[in-house]
Amino acid sequence: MSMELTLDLTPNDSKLRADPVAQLALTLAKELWMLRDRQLVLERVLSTNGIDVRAQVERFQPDAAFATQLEVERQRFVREVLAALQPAGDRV
Amino acid sequence: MDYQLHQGGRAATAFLSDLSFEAAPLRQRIDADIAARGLDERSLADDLDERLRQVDAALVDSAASRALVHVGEWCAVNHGRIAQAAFEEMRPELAPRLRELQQGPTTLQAYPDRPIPAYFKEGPWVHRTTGGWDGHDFQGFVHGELVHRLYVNRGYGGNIYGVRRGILKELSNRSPQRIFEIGCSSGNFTLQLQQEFPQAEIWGCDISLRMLEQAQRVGNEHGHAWRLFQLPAEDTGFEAGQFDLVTSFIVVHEVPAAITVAHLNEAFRLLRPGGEVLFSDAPRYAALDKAAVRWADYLGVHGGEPFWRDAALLDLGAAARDAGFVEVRSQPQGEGVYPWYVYGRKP
Repeated sequence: MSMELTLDLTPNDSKLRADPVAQLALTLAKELWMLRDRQLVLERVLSTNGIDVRAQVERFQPDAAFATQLEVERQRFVREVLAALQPAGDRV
Repeated sequence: MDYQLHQGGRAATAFLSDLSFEAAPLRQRIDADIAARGLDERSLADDLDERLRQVDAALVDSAASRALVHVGEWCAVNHGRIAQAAFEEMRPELAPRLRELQQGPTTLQAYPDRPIPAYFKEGPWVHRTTGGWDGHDFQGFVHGELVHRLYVNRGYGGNIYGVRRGILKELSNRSPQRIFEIGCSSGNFTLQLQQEFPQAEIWGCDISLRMLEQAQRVGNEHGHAWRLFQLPAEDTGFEAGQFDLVTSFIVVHEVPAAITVAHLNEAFRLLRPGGEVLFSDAPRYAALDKAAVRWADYLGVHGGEPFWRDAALLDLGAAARDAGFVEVRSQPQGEGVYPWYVYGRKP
């Protein structure tokens, strides 16, 4: 029996811990929460200054030009997500 | 001291705390998975290495285990990063105040030419906190304040420092004049000692200079004249027979068992006749069942606690008696198994 605790005592567990995708997902979850938190804070700050941006955002309807801009951005985002799921050599 | 986290630091530390807290019940599901695979007190291996590997193999298809592994790893790697990032947002207003708090009645003696013990400077970052105890220019504040209060505290029901105060009820001498604290770190136990014994003169030592700097700030903030030293407690060089109490809180598991034995010997040397020793730490493995020991070992492997097993197997009562102490008690305080303590008196 060893007296020093080392990673080789739990080989399966230690291998799982080295999975970068799971760690990346949790880091992105943290970043997403920080942004959501900031968005809620922003809405509250604007509201206390008399600007009810939350209601305006909920009711907002993009005009044609802005809808196109959103679509371009959204498609770029989707392609990035899909590319991340492909082996590196298949990326465009 | 009062401070206000900025938005990013507040959101990130809250996320970290919630993630860890919400994942904790997975341990019950993992225990059920272990039992469902036929592992119990009878079938779990006696050898501790073999027991760890036995459960590791049994949990390879456990969804609960997989989830806790990922969350546990992320929290272990990121708690220090998140706390340091939260500090950086506050640095412009906080750093000048922290430097100012290092001026006052509490003194700090560093010994830059003395060698740092191998058990401190080698191996993984302690608790896997980013950079280890000295890994940031304000690591004492980052770890002692941000990590402890915003993250670790929740695991103790929000009363992490209450345990430190409560253990002092085990002492017989209610008016010690001079106290030496081993491993005082950022000064949280030191403050409890001073509040419990307002008349006492307190000396403290630690190996981490960054932690001692935070202890100095805590002492000065409260107007206390602590004497802090950057020294390994097993070799202080202090004059013998000058303390009424030598004590430590959750230091035993941070060092090899042989060093704790050396701490007890040094405590005996430093105490006056009639003086008391009180070390408090995690439960002894001898008091736990096989499953609990396996969990403790497992958390030691992945939590940056390389000496946990060695320390928890040490018979603190026998070590205290071997050092010369009498009226020795080595037992938990209260009904549970934590906090464990060893008490002794120098004849």
